[in-house]
Amino acid sequence: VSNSIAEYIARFIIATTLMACLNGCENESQTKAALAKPQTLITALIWAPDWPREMDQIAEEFTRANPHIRVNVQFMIGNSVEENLMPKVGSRALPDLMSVNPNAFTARLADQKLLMDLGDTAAWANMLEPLKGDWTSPGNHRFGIAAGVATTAIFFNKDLFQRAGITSLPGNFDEFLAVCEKLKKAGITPIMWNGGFANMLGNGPFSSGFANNIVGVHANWKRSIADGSLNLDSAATADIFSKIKLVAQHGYVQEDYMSTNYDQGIKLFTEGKTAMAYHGTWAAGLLMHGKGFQTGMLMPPWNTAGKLPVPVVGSETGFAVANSANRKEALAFLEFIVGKGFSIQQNKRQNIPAMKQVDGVVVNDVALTEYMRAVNQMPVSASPYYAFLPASTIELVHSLMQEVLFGNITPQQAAKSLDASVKSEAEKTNK
Amino acid sequence: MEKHIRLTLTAWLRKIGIRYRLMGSFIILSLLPLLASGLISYQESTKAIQSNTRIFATEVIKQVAKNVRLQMAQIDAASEAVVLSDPVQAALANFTGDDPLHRARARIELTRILLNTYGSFAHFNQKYFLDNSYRIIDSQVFPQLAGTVEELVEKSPHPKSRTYWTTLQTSVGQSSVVMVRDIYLKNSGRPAGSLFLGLQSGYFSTIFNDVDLGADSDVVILDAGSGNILIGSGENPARVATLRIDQTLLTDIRSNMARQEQNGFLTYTAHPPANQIGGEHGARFVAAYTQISGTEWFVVSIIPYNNLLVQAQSVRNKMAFIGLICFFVSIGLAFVISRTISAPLEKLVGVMKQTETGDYAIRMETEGNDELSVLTQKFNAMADRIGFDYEQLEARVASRTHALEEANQKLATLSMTDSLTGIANRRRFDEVLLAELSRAARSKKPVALIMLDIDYFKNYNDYYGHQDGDICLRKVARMLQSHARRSTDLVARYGGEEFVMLAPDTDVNSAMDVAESMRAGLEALALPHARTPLAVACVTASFGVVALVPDEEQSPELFARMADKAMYRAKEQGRNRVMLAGREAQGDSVRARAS
Repeated sequence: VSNSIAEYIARFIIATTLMACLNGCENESQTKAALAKPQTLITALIWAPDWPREMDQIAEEFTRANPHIRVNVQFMIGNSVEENLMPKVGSRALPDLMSVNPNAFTARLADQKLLMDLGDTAAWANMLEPLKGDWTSPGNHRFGIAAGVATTAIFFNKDLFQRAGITSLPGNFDEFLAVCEKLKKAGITPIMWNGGFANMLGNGPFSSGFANNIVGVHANWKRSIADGSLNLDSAATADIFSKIKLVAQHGYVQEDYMSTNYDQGIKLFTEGKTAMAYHGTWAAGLLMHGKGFQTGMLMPPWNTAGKLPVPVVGSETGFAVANSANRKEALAFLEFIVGKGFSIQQNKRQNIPAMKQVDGVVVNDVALTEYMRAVNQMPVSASPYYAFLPASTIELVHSLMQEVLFGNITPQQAAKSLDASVKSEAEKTNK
Repeated sequence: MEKHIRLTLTAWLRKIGIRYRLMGSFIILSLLPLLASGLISYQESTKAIQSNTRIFATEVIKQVAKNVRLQMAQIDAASEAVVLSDPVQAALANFTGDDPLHRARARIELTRILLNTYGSFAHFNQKYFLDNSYRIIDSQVFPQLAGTVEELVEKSPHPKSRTYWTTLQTSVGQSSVVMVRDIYLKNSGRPAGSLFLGLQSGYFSTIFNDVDLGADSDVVILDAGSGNILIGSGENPARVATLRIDQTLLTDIRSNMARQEQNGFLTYTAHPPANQIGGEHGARFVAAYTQISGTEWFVVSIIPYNNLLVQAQSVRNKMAFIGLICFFVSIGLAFVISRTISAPLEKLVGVMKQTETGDYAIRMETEGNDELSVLTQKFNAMADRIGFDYEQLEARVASRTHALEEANQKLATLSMTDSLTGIANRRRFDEVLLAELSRAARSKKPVALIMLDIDYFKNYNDYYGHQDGDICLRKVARMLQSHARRSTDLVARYGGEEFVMLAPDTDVNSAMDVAESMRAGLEALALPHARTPLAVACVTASFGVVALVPDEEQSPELFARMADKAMYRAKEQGRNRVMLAGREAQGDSVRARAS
């Protein structure tokens, strides 16, 4: 009897000890569960007027590949990248990743170390060498990665040109006006003007006018703008605005062109309602596939007779990473955008990649490639306006173009304002 | 009956060793309070936790709802200030006018105002002014983006002088909490468009992200109208978009809302479909909810029922663990204490068992001052007394045994001795004769027997009396005894006035010599015998002698009869002489010796 009782006691002790051990295991598993990796939320402020959905998809794919990072994508509004960034610069609340232009404004942010140096990233190593200069600040900070190579062109509807009896493409601005006249007489709206979205006027006729009138004449134009020594209160500058107005004045643009926004402008061309669209290659995916017609590309003939046109080419708006707490995650997202995620936007936009090697299958139009070859063969080329004008001047240019088009100010007055703004910004910067 | 039970129980318990009874009682005494207190605390703590959770969760989500409402109110107020500001009013007035230049300027101005007002805040995902046709005024926004915004604003209920709050999901699941405000011109009251603000859901979820109602609990904001979850606590928006509130909970919320009750608390079991907040089908949940005033939104906290009790379970586990340790300690103590009782008792029992062997010298060592020590001392004293008595008894028994042995010895001697003469009696003679005959047969050596009878002894008795007759017999016996030369020679009274002498290893001649010597010795004693007809006038005897080497079959009776016959022949021949047995049969002359 005594032995069996002792045995029962021993069993009870073992059982209770096991229960205590199991209890310990349970607590341990709860502790392990509590140690799951937290998710980091990064904010990306993106300039993607014509590819917001693709940008969302890139963010989604990135989170799928990196479950511990979530991206809150915000899209810029207005007419420029800079006006979106300026309030955030002022409040020191830059998003973790943002669209930036390769200009002095962004370079200053880099030199203030508000942006990360991207020199050690794979994206920087893979970027085309000629573009790297655009993205290197005076302080030698490598602050951005181009989303693509940006060049502007006049996309034209071959069918409408044929219908208007146009057999040769214009080689200078006078010939361009003549082509417009022919088209107009044929009852065809010659060209689309994005009067409601001045950014495209800036990228288009303004940049080309600046390229042919200023860049082609002044060898050190960029440095002169930076130090304020370039005199833009000139006939050449006024001519830039005059040409923009002239095209409109002659009725070569669509009705209500001053209300035409970015999307409407593209639609006017792709639906065959205008014969030409002055646009950037970043929208080639839309512009090269018009409804029922073939599209050609024409180097904007903003040159005078006897001179070669000066094309506009440079880095497209790119991406930078803020020196924020989430910079590691944001850098990973940057690598993804121009790496594995690049094809998502490229296949929609069909722009010229800014990278030496591109992941996945990318779509490009042969005509676009040919156009780029022609542009590269030109002895002189200029950057897009957003790349060399001070941020506040960019905003001013938008207003000046609209004011000139509305006849509220003369091209000369616009040139004077532009000159004053550039010099003022140079003075502020060089203080 | 009670007595019977008591006796049975006692009897049963008495079958168990004291040590185990003690340990058992310790265990029961320590375990019962542990179990009882554990059971009570379990039930009480579960009730208390449920009650406190209800209070706590309800108060927490009320606070969350209040904070959400406050944040919404702040955004409301700020947006009202924006839309009523002169620049916005002027720009919208221009934009609604017919002047293209003014419209273009207004477009730029309105965008600038938006950026200056909201551009520095990271939590504003979208910010747009829309015209009276619900089209975004910003000219760069593509239909992919604008379409969903414009459709949402167009379909919003446009409450007068109020804002409308909802959520916006992009095609890939990005979500924003949206405020839509209609704008009216101050000077005319005409509608001038709408303001659309999209906020990161995290902006509101930060209010309750840190609210910890336990592992796997969720706090969400639910649109009771659509049944969709608008904001989840720190959740991936894509996941939040796919989450569903359990139908039981949603029905309860909606019925409460219909009764205009803002708060509710519900315990329910989850049902399909999958991907519900909280998880699996069949699991129980506790939900508390409260309405965000002015909306159909509810802040809902959902806590898995099992997890609710996890913390209490943890405390209970710790208590159980401590109880277990105490239990083990009490078992250890029980073992030690019971050993202090049972071990001395067992030792005492062992010592007592040892005394059964008669070892009363063993003693127990005395330790401590408890009852067992007293018992040990008493036992030792008792053992002392018993030992002493035992030794006394042993000595007495030894003494008595010795006396008895002596008496027995004496008795044995007496049984082999003739009481009158002091020499061996007839029994003794018979035993020795048998043994000597056998021994002589084995050793092939002669044995002799001399038998004598006192002549005319009847006359002697008649004349001198029996007392003198006895004295005479004693003197004769003493004389015969003196003729036993060896220790093996045996002289015995054969009966009456007859005597024998058995002489092992003695041939005929020697035997005849001894017999003659005896006869002469008797004669020499010269015991007077007045009534003997013989001439010597003293006590004489007639002797018969037999001597031979017996074989194995030699009969003692025959051997004695041969001596007896020889003796009677001596009688017949005139007494006081010695006759050798067997001579007459062979024709030899009897060798007689006479004085």
